[in-house]
Amino acid sequence: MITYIFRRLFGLLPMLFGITLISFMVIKLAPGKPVMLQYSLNPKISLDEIKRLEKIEGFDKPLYVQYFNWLGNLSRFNFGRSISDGRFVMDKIVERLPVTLSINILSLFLIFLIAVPWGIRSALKQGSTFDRVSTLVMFLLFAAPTFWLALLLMQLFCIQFGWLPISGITSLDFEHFNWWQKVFDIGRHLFLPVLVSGLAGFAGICRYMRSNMIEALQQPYIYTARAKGLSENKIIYKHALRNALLPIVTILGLSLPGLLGGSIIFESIFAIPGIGRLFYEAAMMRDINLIMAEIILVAVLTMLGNLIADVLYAYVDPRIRYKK
Amino acid sequence: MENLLEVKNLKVEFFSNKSLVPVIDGATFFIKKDEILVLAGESGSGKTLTALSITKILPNSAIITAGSAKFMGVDLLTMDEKALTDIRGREIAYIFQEPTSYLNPVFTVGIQITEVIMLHQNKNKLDAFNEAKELLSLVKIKDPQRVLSSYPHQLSGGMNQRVFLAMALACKPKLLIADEPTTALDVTIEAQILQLLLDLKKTMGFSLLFITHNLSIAKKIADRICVMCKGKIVEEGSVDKIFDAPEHFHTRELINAYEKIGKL
Repeated sequence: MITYIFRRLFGLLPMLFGITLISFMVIKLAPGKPVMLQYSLNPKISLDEIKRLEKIEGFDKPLYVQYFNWLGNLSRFNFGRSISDGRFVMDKIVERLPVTLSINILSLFLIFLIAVPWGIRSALKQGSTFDRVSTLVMFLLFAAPTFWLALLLMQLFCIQFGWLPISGITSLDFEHFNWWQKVFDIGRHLFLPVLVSGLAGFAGICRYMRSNMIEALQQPYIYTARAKGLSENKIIYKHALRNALLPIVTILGLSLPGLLGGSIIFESIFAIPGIGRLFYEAAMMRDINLIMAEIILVAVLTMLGNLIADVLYAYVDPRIRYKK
Repeated sequence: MENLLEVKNLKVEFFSNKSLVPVIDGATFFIKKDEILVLAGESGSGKTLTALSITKILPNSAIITAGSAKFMGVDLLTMDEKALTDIRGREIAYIFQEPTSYLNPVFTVGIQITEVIMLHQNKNKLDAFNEAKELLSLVKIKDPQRVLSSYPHQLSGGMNQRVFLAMALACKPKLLIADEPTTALDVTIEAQILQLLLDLKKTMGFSLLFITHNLSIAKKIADRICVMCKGKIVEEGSVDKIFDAPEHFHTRELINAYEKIGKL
């Protein structure tokens, strides 16, 4: 298993190289110069001055030199400095990480905690009123756009009822709170973002779990379990559930890039200083180093997520574990 | 000789478009102690459903609408679920057509056999494991230790059917219901499994309800044969009677089909 993981990790390197090459080229093809941010509001800037700025950032060299310089830095985990404010890209990302990570882990945790049992119940009571109503609700949640849902919920909870703060992650007088008040304050701020970011995923996992469970319960080995004289609970929660959960494990692995990638939409709507918004702002300002760092981050996470999904799947499904 | 199982006027119907469609329509038969009864019939005649109805392990869409199935004098069809779970696996055991898909793919053979031993015999894990090993030797598996820690997909179909047989016989059932147990196997393995089944029947002394569409097997192993057609038992009798003087049109058809293949 260990050698398998290492072999897979090694195999990811060429793919990563390809990703860096293509994304670097695409970014360079984008209109507008990255240093424009520093002079576009200054009508008195001279051509020499622009050239000097470009030289500082290394944008005067041929493209392939630029690429290999950047790649060299990347291999030393040096993403360079942000062009907009001169701070290290790494620092800017690390600073935003806790917020995005905590929102996404929380919502992922809640999704699985609620959606899996819900899906099972739906499957067991297939065709009942509970199942039909929840099917309808799930499809509505699945179809509802995040931003629309977010705005509606804001309107309801923050403006109509005034129960929850409308944006940000802390109140203005956060500094003066004691520990419990701080936790409560953050909780109040995170409630809607977590809810909104979780709902679509929740609906998906729920439906998925339902269909997996229905399928598992129709498999021949369920007849065997019955014929053995096992109780209905043992049949459902041992023999069927174990099989129904297999595909869910894959989804868990594949949701890794989303955990750190953040969401531009709901982070913008709720004014949450997370990775998603950092990315959006970087794109708007042509902050090339920051954009590239984010692309690499998401690419690496996607590849690792796939790998983790495969490894987890092999771990839980003996049929795959032993296939050479 | 007393009858171990008496099925009377069994009627099973399927839900289809909110109406009920009968699939088994008044099947009546009995099995004596120590007897091999072969239930023969073409695909779709309701053989498997009949077998599943006996201990009520039917698919959700099928319901038993009439009849009785008296096992040692007690009607299984009116028994409550709790009491039935005690009968299943302990008194009446099943083996099925495709052993590999009827074994759970995510559990080892060992877990699946010990599960039924622990359930019905109140044994701890270690005792159950040792017994499972003995059972596997009983069904002539040469390296029980390895097989116990294998998953079904790692074993051949014939091997899995032996495992299944060991699992079914774990609690020394009085009745074994074998639903086309050799149909998915190739001919040499088929002969081995059939021989094993007959040997075990002799040593352990269970009654056997053997379901098949293959009359050549029926002729070799049966004490009596019931021929099933369109959800009804159309003819019943000893092997000689069925083969020498078939009364029902469908029985003659089955025999003709089997002879035609013989002539090829």
